[in-house]
Amino acid sequence: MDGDRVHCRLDELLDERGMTLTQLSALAGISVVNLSVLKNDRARAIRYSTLEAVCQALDCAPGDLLTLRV
Amino acid sequence: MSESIHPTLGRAGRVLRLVQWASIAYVLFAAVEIIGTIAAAISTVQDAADPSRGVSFDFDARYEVPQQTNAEFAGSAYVLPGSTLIFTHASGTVAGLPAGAIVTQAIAQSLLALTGGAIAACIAMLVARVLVGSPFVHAAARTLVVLAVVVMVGFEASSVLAVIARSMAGGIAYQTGSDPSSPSYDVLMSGGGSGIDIDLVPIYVGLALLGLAAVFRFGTTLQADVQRLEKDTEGLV
Repeated sequence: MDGDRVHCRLDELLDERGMTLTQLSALAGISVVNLSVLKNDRARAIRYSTLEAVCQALDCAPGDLLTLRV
Repeated sequence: MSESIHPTLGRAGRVLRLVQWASIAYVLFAAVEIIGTIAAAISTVQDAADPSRGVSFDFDARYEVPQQTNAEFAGSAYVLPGSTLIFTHASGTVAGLPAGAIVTQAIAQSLLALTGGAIAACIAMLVARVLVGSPFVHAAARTLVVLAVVVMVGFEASSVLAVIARSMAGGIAYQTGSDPSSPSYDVLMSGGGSGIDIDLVPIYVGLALLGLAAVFRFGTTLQADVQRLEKDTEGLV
Protein backbone atom coordinates (compact mmCIF):
# COMPACT_ATOMS: atom_id res chain seq x y z
CA MET A 1 0.00 0.00 0.00
CA ASP A 2 1.68 3.22 -1.12
CA GLY A 3 -1.25 5.68 -1.24
CA ASP A 4 -1.72 5.65 -5.02
CA ARG A 5 -5.50 5.26 -4.67
CA VAL A 6 -5.95 8.36 -2.50
CA HIS A 7 -7.42 11.16 -4.62
CA CYS A 8 -7.51 14.84 -3.63
CA ARG A 9 -10.69 16.62 -4.74
CA LEU A 10 -9.19 20.09 -4.42
CA ASP A 11 -10.01 20.97 -8.02
CA GLU A 12 -13.71 20.12 -7.57
CA LEU A 13 -13.97 21.94 -4.23
CA LEU A 14 -12.31 25.09 -5.62
CA ASP A 15 -14.68 25.03 -8.64
CA GLU A 16 -17.72 24.69 -6.36
CA ARG A 17 -16.63 27.71 -4.35
CA GLY A 18 -15.44 29.76 -7.32
CA MET A 19 -12.03 30.07 -5.66
CA THR A 20 -8.57 30.06 -7.26
CA LEU A 21 -5.51 28.26 -5.95
CA THR A 22 -3.87 31.61 -5.16
CA GLN A 23 -6.88 32.71 -3.07
CA LEU A 24 -6.87 29.41 -1.19
CA SER A 25 -3.10 29.80 -0.57
CA ALA A 26 -3.68 33.24 0.98
CA LEU A 27 -6.59 31.97 3.11
CA ALA A 28 -4.96 28.76 4.31
CA GLY A 29 -1.38 29.97 4.61
CA ILE A 30 -0.12 27.08 2.46
CA SER A 31 2.19 27.79 -0.49
CA VAL A 32 0.78 27.59 -4.00
CA VAL A 33 3.45 25.00 -4.82
CA ASN A 34 2.28 22.65 -2.08
CA LEU A 35 -1.38 23.17 -2.98
CA SER A 36 -0.53 22.35 -6.58
CA VAL A 37 1.20 19.14 -5.48
CA LEU A 38 -1.97 18.22 -3.54
CA LYS A 39 -4.29 19.16 -6.41
CA ASN A 40 -2.41 17.00 -8.93
CA ASP A 41 -2.28 13.94 -6.63
CA ARG A 42 1.51 14.15 -6.47
CA ALA A 43 1.58 14.35 -2.65
CA ARG A 44 2.64 11.18 -0.87
CA ALA A 45 1.87 12.42 2.65
CA ILE A 46 0.03 15.33 4.24
CA ARG A 47 0.55 16.93 7.65
CA TYR A 48 -2.48 17.22 9.90
CA SER A 49 -1.80 20.97 10.14
CA THR A 50 -2.00 21.29 6.33
CA LEU A 51 -5.19 19.20 6.18
CA GLU A 52 -6.75 21.30 8.95
CA ALA A 53 -5.81 24.62 7.28
CA VAL A 54 -7.17 23.59 3.85
CA CYS A 55 -10.41 22.18 5.26
CA GLN A 56 -10.95 25.29 7.37
CA ALA A 57 -10.35 27.56 4.36
CA LEU A 58 -12.73 25.52 2.17
CA ASP A 59 -15.19 24.90 5.00
CA CYS A 60 -15.27 21.17 4.36
CA ALA A 61 -14.43 17.89 6.11
CA PRO A 62 -11.27 15.85 5.44
CA GLY A 63 -13.43 13.20 3.83
CA ASP A 64 -14.70 15.79 1.33
CA LEU A 65 -11.13 16.67 0.36
CA LEU A 66 -9.58 13.18 0.24
CA THR A 67 -11.28 10.11 -1.26
CA LEU A 68 -10.23 6.60 -2.15
CA ARG A 69 -10.39 5.61 -5.81
CA VAL A 70 -11.82 2.17 -6.47
CA MET B 1 39.11 6.48 -9.87
CA SER B 2 37.18 7.99 -12.75
CA GLU B 3 34.19 8.88 -10.58
CA SER B 4 33.32 12.54 -10.62
CA ILE B 5 33.82 14.57 -7.46
CA HIS B 6 30.64 15.19 -5.44
CA PRO B 7 29.61 18.78 -6.28
CA THR B 8 29.31 19.95 -2.66
CA LEU B 9 32.96 19.12 -1.89
CA GLY B 10 34.29 22.11 -3.85
CA ARG B 11 38.00 22.79 -3.33
CA ALA B 12 38.20 20.01 -0.71
CA GLY B 13 37.32 17.58 -3.49
CA ARG B 14 40.40 18.59 -5.49
CA VAL B 15 42.60 18.16 -2.41
CA LEU B 16 41.09 14.74 -1.77
CA ARG B 17 41.65 13.73 -5.39
CA LEU B 18 45.32 14.70 -4.96
CA VAL B 19 45.52 12.62 -1.78
CA GLN B 20 43.96 9.70 -3.65
CA TRP B 21 46.52 9.87 -6.45
CA ALA B 22 49.38 10.25 -3.95
CA SER B 23 48.14 7.23 -2.00
CA ILE B 24 47.95 5.06 -5.10
CA ALA B 25 51.42 6.20 -6.15
CA TYR B 26 52.74 5.30 -2.68
CA VAL B 27 51.18 1.83 -2.88
CA LEU B 28 53.10 1.24 -6.13
CA PHE B 29 56.27 2.66 -4.57
CA ALA B 30 55.88 0.34 -1.55
CA ALA B 31 55.41 -2.65 -3.86
CA VAL B 32 58.63 -1.78 -5.71
CA GLU B 33 60.41 -1.27 -2.36
CA ILE B 34 59.31 -4.70 -1.10
CA ILE B 35 60.49 -6.40 -4.29
CA GLY B 36 63.79 -4.52 -4.06
CA THR B 37 64.27 -5.47 -0.40
CA ILE B 38 63.65 -9.15 -1.12
CA ALA B 39 66.00 -9.09 -4.12
CA ALA B 40 68.67 -7.32 -2.06
CA ALA B 41 68.27 -9.87 0.74
CA ILE B 42 68.77 -12.78 -1.67
CA SER B 43 71.91 -11.12 -3.03
CA THR B 44 73.10 -10.30 0.49
CA VAL B 45 72.68 -13.89 1.70
CA GLN B 46 74.80 -15.03 -1.24
CA ASP B 47 77.46 -12.40 -0.43
CA ALA B 48 77.41 -13.34 3.24
CA ALA B 49 78.52 -16.84 2.33
CA ASP B 50 81.76 -15.31 0.95
CA PRO B 51 83.95 -14.29 3.96
CA SER B 52 86.04 -11.92 1.84
CA ARG B 53 83.12 -9.77 0.74
CA GLY B 54 80.85 -9.04 3.68
CA VAL B 55 77.47 -7.30 3.59
CA SER B 56 76.16 -3.89 4.63
CA PHE B 57 74.69 -4.22 8.11
CA ASP B 58 73.51 -1.89 10.87
CA PHE B 59 74.18 -2.91 14.46
CA ASP B 60 74.32 -1.54 17.97
CA ALA B 61 77.90 -0.86 19.05
CA ARG B 62 78.83 0.90 22.24
CA TYR B 63 82.11 2.77 21.90
CA GLU B 64 83.17 5.37 24.45
CA VAL B 65 85.46 8.29 23.60
CA PRO B 66 86.55 10.31 26.66
CA GLN B 67 86.81 14.00 25.74
CA GLN B 68 89.97 15.92 26.60
CA THR B 69 89.52 18.45 29.41
CA ASN B 70 91.56 21.21 27.78
CA ALA B 71 89.79 21.24 24.40
CA GLU B 72 88.36 24.57 23.26
CA PHE B 73 85.55 25.10 20.76
CA ALA B 74 83.87 28.10 19.18
CA GLY B 75 81.11 28.79 16.76
CA SER B 76 78.87 25.76 17.32
CA ALA B 77 77.47 23.46 19.97
CA TYR B 78 80.10 21.11 21.40
CA VAL B 79 80.49 18.04 23.54
CA LEU B 80 81.55 19.15 26.98
CA PRO B 81 85.30 18.77 27.50
CA GLY B 82 86.01 16.19 30.19
CA SER B 83 82.79 14.27 29.52
CA THR B 84 82.54 10.96 27.63
CA LEU B 85 81.13 10.71 24.13
CA ILE B 86 79.36 7.41 23.53
CA PHE B 87 78.70 5.97 20.06
CA THR B 88 75.73 3.61 20.16
CA HIS B 89 75.07 2.62 16.59
CA ALA B 90 77.29 1.56 13.71
CA SER B 91 76.93 0.78 10.04
CA GLY B 92 79.55 -1.19 8.16
CA THR B 93 80.43 -4.04 5.85
CA VAL B 94 80.21 -7.15 8.02
CA ALA B 95 81.44 -10.64 7.16
CA GLY B 96 80.41 -13.92 8.78
CA LEU B 97 76.82 -12.92 9.48
CA PRO B 98 74.38 -15.79 9.84
CA ALA B 99 71.86 -15.97 6.98
CA GLY B 100 69.00 -15.96 9.48
CA ALA B 101 69.95 -12.46 10.67
CA ILE B 102 70.02 -11.12 7.11
CA VAL B 103 66.70 -12.72 6.21
CA THR B 104 65.04 -11.49 9.42
CA GLN B 105 66.30 -7.96 8.83
CA ALA B 106 64.97 -8.11 5.25
CA ILE B 107 61.57 -9.28 6.54
CA ALA B 108 61.54 -6.40 9.04
CA GLN B 109 62.27 -3.88 6.27
CA SER B 110 59.71 -5.47 3.94
CA LEU B 111 57.11 -5.42 6.71
CA LEU B 112 57.72 -1.70 7.21
CA ALA B 113 57.24 -1.06 3.49
CA LEU B 114 54.16 -3.32 3.44
CA THR B 115 52.68 -1.40 6.39
CA GLY B 116 53.20 1.89 4.58
CA GLY B 117 51.63 0.50 1.42
CA ALA B 118 48.63 -0.91 3.31
CA ILE B 119 48.07 2.45 5.03
CA ALA B 120 48.15 4.20 1.65
CA ALA B 121 45.69 1.67 0.19
CA CYS B 122 43.25 2.20 3.09
CA ILE B 123 43.50 5.99 2.73
CA ALA B 124 42.84 5.70 -1.03
CA MET B 125 39.69 3.63 -0.37
CA LEU B 126 38.39 6.05 2.26
CA VAL B 127 39.02 9.07 0.02
CA ALA B 128 37.20 7.34 -2.86
CA ARG B 129 34.10 7.01 -0.66
CA VAL B 130 34.22 10.69 0.32
CA LEU B 131 34.68 11.80 -3.30
CA VAL B 132 31.43 10.12 -4.39
CA GLY B 133 29.62 11.79 -1.49
CA SER B 134 28.88 8.78 0.70
CA PRO B 135 31.59 8.57 3.37
CA PHE B 136 29.39 7.05 6.06
CA VAL B 137 29.02 3.49 4.87
CA HIS B 138 29.87 0.23 6.66
CA ALA B 139 32.82 -0.35 4.31
CA ALA B 140 34.47 2.88 5.52
CA ALA B 141 34.21 1.82 9.18
CA ARG B 142 35.64 -1.60 8.31
CA THR B 143 38.51 0.03 6.38
CA LEU B 144 39.37 2.13 9.44
CA VAL B 145 39.45 -0.98 11.65
CA VAL B 146 41.79 -2.68 9.16
CA LEU B 147 43.94 0.49 9.12
CA ALA B 148 44.11 0.48 12.93
CA VAL B 149 45.27 -3.16 13.01
CA VAL B 150 47.81 -2.54 10.21
CA VAL B 151 49.32 0.45 12.06
CA MET B 152 49.52 -1.29 15.44
CA VAL B 153 50.78 -4.65 14.23
CA GLY B 154 52.88 -3.55 11.26
CA PHE B 155 55.13 -1.02 12.98
CA GLU B 156 55.55 -3.01 16.20
CA ALA B 157 56.26 -6.29 14.38
CA SER B 158 58.83 -4.56 12.18
CA SER B 159 60.62 -3.16 15.28
CA VAL B 160 60.56 -6.53 17.01
CA LEU B 161 61.95 -8.33 13.95
CA ALA B 162 64.72 -5.73 13.58
CA VAL B 163 65.79 -6.37 17.17
CA ILE B 164 65.60 -10.14 16.63
CA ALA B 165 67.79 -9.74 13.53
CA ARG B 166 70.42 -7.87 15.52
CA SER B 167 70.22 -10.48 18.24
CA MET B 168 70.67 -13.30 15.72
CA ALA B 169 73.75 -11.51 14.34
CA GLY B 170 75.37 -12.02 17.72
CA GLY B 171 78.44 -10.06 18.72
CA ILE B 172 80.30 -8.29 15.89
CA ALA B 173 84.00 -7.57 16.39
CA TYR B 174 85.34 -4.21 15.19
CA GLN B 175 88.45 -2.03 15.56
CA THR B 176 88.30 1.43 17.16
CA GLY B 177 91.01 2.82 14.90
CA SER B 178 93.24 1.94 11.97
CA ASP B 179 96.59 2.23 13.82
CA PRO B 180 97.25 -0.60 16.26
CA SER B 181 100.14 1.36 17.77
CA SER B 182 97.84 4.22 18.79
CA PRO B 183 96.91 4.29 22.50
CA SER B 184 93.20 4.54 21.61
CA TYR B 185 93.28 1.42 19.39
CA ASP B 186 91.22 -1.47 20.63
CA VAL B 187 89.16 -4.37 19.34
CA LEU B 188 85.66 -4.37 20.77
CA MET B 189 82.67 -6.66 20.42
CA SER B 190 79.19 -5.27 19.95
CA GLY B 191 76.40 -6.62 22.12
CA GLY B 192 74.16 -9.34 20.68
CA GLY B 193 71.23 -6.98 20.49
CA SER B 194 69.43 -4.75 22.95
CA GLY B 195 66.06 -5.43 24.54
CA ILE B 196 62.90 -4.73 22.60
CA ASP B 197 61.58 -1.17 23.00
CA ILE B 198 57.84 -0.97 22.48
CA ASP B 199 57.03 2.29 20.69
CA LEU B 200 53.71 3.53 22.07
CA VAL B 201 52.95 5.90 19.19
CA PRO B 202 51.70 3.25 16.69
CA ILE B 203 49.59 1.70 19.45
CA TYR B 204 48.01 5.03 20.32
CA VAL B 205 47.44 5.91 16.65
CA GLY B 206 45.84 2.48 16.13
CA LEU B 207 43.52 3.04 19.10
CA ALA B 208 42.64 6.50 17.79
CA LEU B 209 41.75 4.95 14.42
CA LEU B 210 39.53 2.42 16.19
CA GLY B 211 37.76 5.37 17.84
CA LEU B 212 37.37 7.00 14.42
CA ALA B 213 35.91 3.74 13.08
CA ALA B 214 33.31 3.87 15.88
CA VAL B 215 32.48 7.48 14.87
CA PHE B 216 32.04 6.40 11.24
CA ARG B 217 29.83 3.50 12.32
CA PHE B 218 27.66 5.96 14.26
CA GLY B 219 27.61 8.26 11.23
CA THR B 220 26.47 5.35 9.06
CA THR B 221 23.54 4.68 11.40
CA LEU B 222 22.58 8.37 11.45
CA GLN B 223 22.80 8.62 7.67
CA ALA B 224 20.58 5.55 7.28
CA ASP B 225 18.03 7.15 9.64
CA VAL B 226 18.08 10.39 7.62
CA GLN B 227 17.64 8.52 4.35
CA ARG B 228 14.73 6.56 5.83
CA LEU B 229 13.13 9.82 7.02
CA GLU B 230 13.63 11.42 3.60
CA LYS B 231 12.01 8.43 1.95
CA ASP B 232 9.08 8.50 4.39
CA THR B 233 8.51 12.24 3.91
CA GLU B 234 9.07 12.36 0.17
CA GLY B 235 6.23 14.36 -1.36
CA LEU B 236 5.02 15.58 2.06
CA VAL B 237 2.93 18.76 2.01
